[in-house]
Amino acid sequence: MEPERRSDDHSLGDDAITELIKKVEMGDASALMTLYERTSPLLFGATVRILGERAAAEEALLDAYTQIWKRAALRNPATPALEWLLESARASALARTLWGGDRRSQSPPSEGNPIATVTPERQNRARRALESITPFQREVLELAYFSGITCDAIAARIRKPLGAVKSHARQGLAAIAQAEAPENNEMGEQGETRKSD
Amino acid sequence: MKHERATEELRELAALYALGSLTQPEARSFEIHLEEGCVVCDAECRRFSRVTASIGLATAEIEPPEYVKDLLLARIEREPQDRSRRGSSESPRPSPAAPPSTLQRRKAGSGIVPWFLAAILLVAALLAGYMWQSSERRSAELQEEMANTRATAGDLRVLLEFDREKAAELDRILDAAGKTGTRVSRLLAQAAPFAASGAVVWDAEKRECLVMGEFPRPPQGKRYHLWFLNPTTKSLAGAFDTNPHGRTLARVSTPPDIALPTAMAVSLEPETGVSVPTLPYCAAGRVD
Repeated sequence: MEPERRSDDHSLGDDAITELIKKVEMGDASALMTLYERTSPLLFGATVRILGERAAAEEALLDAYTQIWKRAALRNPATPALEWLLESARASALARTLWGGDRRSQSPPSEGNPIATVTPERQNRARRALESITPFQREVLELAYFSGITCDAIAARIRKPLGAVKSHARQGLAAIAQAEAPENNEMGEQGETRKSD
Repeated sequence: MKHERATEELRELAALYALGSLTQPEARSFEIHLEEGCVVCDAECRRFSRVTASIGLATAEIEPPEYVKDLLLARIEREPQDRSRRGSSESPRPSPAAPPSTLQRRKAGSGIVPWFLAAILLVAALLAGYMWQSSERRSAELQEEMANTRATAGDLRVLLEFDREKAAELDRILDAAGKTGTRVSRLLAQAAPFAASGAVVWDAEKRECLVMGEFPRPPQGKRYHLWFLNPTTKSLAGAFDTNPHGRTLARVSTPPDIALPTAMAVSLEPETGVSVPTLPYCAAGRVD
């Protein structure tokens, strides 16, 4: 299904998010609240996907924004702002999987909104790119991203050779980069995608 | 060793590092290589990191509950920000052990200090430095633990307050619903774009309604109006408001001469009031 764009468009570009983070860095709590209002659906979607249940995901989301508040000044300016936010949420959620045992779902939860509101163009492009890779590549990449496990563990979980897991992870990322071109077309690598894999 | 061009093997390593799928020794080894300044691997890493973020960006959005924002606001009021810049935080901490200038001055200056005395001083200084660092680390850990405990206590207070409000709401509902002669109408949304739903508990004896449910915030200048319907009349029971989160728990006093309803309905009307409801209704339901 082609994701839609919400009519009350509150979408943010990376620049706008960066500006908000700069204000957060200066101790501007209202900027953090604006950042939360605009980006929390995306980050909460990711934490729910990682943890597989809402209560733990809410705690992870709270931790993530607390860390964003505390560590805004430590952000490496070379890291795009939205990636930094997502990575904060992912790290908080994955940390909880370590504390609370493996509560992760292996498939996407049934809830979730296909509407892209945070940065619609980029989100929609990412979704199309992820749909364009092979199911095996997607399975490997999603296990790696949402479960935070090593290739060895992925290979054991899906019962495939380690070498195949590693090469499909690389090929999958290269294919996503190519599908998201022109933004990432400097990957210097052909997207190695075959739907029939 | 710095690389001159990206090979398949390097790309695979960078991709797995960006995904966080290397084992700890593999990841540490690759980080050391990056710290040595290999621009080729660094560039591959950055590119794959950006692509990896796309997996997160493709995730379906889910709106978090409103109270998480309240908790966040309460928490950051107590959380100090870490204002040390990356550069300064990553710079090695000057060791308090054995200030080099002192030792060097002594060695170079007099030349009469026996070697064993120098060694003892050095060991003592290193020991003192180690103990100082340990106590500093422990102190920092304790402070962090205290901050976390305070944050947790604050969160619990907010949740407790939230639970108290909910308990009070439930008491009011149970109190109203438990009386004899109470009539209940379950309200369901009637037409888009209304996403309203809820229930009305009518205490016929006291001529009072308890309206509860989810009603989106009305536009400026409008209020929700409750109507009692029967086959021949549509009577205004009263108006009510909703909270900023679109939740309602309101008492509405009904006129003493209002006709017995067979159904109830809610409509959006100007604050000044109307005598007949504007259709379509936001929500309506039969009286049980």
